[in-house]
Amino acid sequence: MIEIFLDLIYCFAASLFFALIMNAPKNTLMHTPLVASIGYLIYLACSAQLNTTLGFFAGTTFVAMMGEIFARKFKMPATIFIFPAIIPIVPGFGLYETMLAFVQNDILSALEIGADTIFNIVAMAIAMALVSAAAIKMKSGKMN
Amino acid sequence: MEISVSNLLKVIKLAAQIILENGGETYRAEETIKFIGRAFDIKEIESIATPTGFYITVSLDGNENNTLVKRIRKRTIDLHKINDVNQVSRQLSEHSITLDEALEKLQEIYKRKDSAIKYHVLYAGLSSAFFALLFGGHVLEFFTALITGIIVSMVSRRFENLQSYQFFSSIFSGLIIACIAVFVTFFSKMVNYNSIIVGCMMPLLPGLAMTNAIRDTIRGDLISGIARATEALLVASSLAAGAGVTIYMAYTIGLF
Repeated sequence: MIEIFLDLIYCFAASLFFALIMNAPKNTLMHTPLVASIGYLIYLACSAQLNTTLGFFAGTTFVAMMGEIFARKFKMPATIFIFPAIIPIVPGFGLYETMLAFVQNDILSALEIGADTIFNIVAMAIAMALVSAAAIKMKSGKMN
Repeated sequence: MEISVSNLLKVIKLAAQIILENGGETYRAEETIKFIGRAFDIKEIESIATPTGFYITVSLDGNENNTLVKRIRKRTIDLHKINDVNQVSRQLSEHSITLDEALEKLQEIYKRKDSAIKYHVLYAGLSSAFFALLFGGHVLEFFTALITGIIVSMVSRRFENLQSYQFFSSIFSGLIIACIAVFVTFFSKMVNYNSIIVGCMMPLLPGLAMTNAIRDTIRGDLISGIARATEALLVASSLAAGAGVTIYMAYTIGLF
């Protein structure tokens, strides 16, 4: 329990500093890391309870949804919120493990982990596409 | 209201250019162009935006066409500039500013250098350090990742004006990260090099480019989808190559 809590704090700090590198507007700097941590929590919970790919899907859906909501509220492009908040969920560890397996000449497990990682990235993309399609349907001719 | 085509084209060009050069999506550039056009009751306005350039055709009365092509060479990420351009296009469509004022504002946004850029090195280090903690690091990993992140950020800034910036900065970043992680692991015998390497790589990964590539393809923007996918693949594979070579050598020498 305490470990998950610590993870969320690390996640908050990491995406806060990432938003600062990307020069995000100052008044979004509290919202984005919060969305990132909650999205990461959803990702952790879903991958522990159900299935990893579903975890990536659920976490991304939440982040993208909150991005669209904040975009309406602040009248800013949704990318500003989604970009820094999605970073903790990106399967960097999977990509690294794929590379490591290739380096260790373990082609079979490299392909296995690699395919899994690509599935996870596709799951994230589908989640983002679904949310943005729903957002376009809902908005009344206004651009954000 | 009388508007000059050349000014309108300048405003549209600059808006789209800033969006594409600072990491905005291609559909955002296209929509901004269409949005500004609609605000001035342009008869026909059509645009194709890709990550490497865009084409715009404007026709005020439906008879004479004005076409503009702009090549995008430098691509960085600056969310603040994207937001500012969005603000300007919003104000234009509400007619609260004129075209000349918009042009002035856009030129100011385009030229603006970030004053806090010297802190970015530190932010990059801190971001890497917290990612290292997230991936199972402890105190020693935190400080190693902090220093590595700062060094990587300083080194990759040196490559900024190079033609193939992304390839060189990624491959050298991967090399530096893996070198430092392997050496610290070898000499201290108590850190986990995996969490250092992943932590430092996380901020450099083309996470949004990967997902945007697939999303663009799903939307039907096939050209920009492929361009983004190529970019993401280039960055990810050169990062992996840089780190992989170092780790491979470490295995071959028998460091661990």
